[in-house]
Amino acid sequence: MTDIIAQLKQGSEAAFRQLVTQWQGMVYNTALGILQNTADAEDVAQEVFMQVFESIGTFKGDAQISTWLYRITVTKCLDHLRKKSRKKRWAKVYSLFGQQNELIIDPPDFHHPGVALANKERADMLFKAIARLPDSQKAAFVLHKLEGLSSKEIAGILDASVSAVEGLLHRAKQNLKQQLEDYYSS
Amino acid sequence: MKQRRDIAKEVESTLNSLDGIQRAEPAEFFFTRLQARMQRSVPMDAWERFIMLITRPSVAITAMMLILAINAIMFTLRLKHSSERSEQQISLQQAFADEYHLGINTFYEFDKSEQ
Repeated sequence: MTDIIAQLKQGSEAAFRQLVTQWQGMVYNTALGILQNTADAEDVAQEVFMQVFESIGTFKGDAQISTWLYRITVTKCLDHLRKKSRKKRWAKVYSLFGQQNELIIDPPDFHHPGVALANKERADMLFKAIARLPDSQKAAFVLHKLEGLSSKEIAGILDASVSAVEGLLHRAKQNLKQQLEDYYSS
Repeated sequence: MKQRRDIAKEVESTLNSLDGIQRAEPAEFFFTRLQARMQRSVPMDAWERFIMLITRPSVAITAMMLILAINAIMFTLRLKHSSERSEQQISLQQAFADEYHLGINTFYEFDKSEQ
């Protein structure tokens, strides 16, 4: 892997292609888990690799490349969500002044392509609940559940302590439980 | 009681519904699309970077607060300085008026001084 980084720093396109091929699934899957929209996930995954290409010179190699990629992906996804909610908030104001804006509509249900058919309905319900979690809890839960990362690995990505990540995961599970209980009891 | 247990069971099953999930992969030819996008995007020049920097909310709000703070300080200083200056000016004007007998109070006094 250090070879690829060295070649990338020299501007090798073959090395960049190899890096993208190797990590595109990981980046896309994480983005899809957080954004729950295939078009947005593809968009953000492209942005992640564009940033990698532009800022490979600043990568010192003290962290693993996967940690670096996860960090960029999570940051970009959360930025994207914030931008989207800001746009949604202002869309009503703009419409009052008759300005034309692109329609911001989320698909009613998100289906993750990797979920087994037997769990499809429950997984859709869980994704709906995940979408309502606060940003940091959402990122930690997605990294843990979808990417199967340990608390230590998530701590490295989110630049937090292991106990802080465990706290985030615990609160995320509590929040999800509460939401699901409300749904099933209604 | 039974209903409560059922709900708890449902919640637990839903929370575990992502166990064993397969990783989603992007659509085919991802690298080709990425390359096309990279070729489309022109690198920003210095002016665009500067505009992007100053339009960031944190930078814009900080700059506005700084300008307001400088304004408030300048206004306070000017107010203090002007009150000191006006006292000094009044006393100087008074001294000048006394020196040249400019303290004319009535029209009759003005007449007298003309004669």
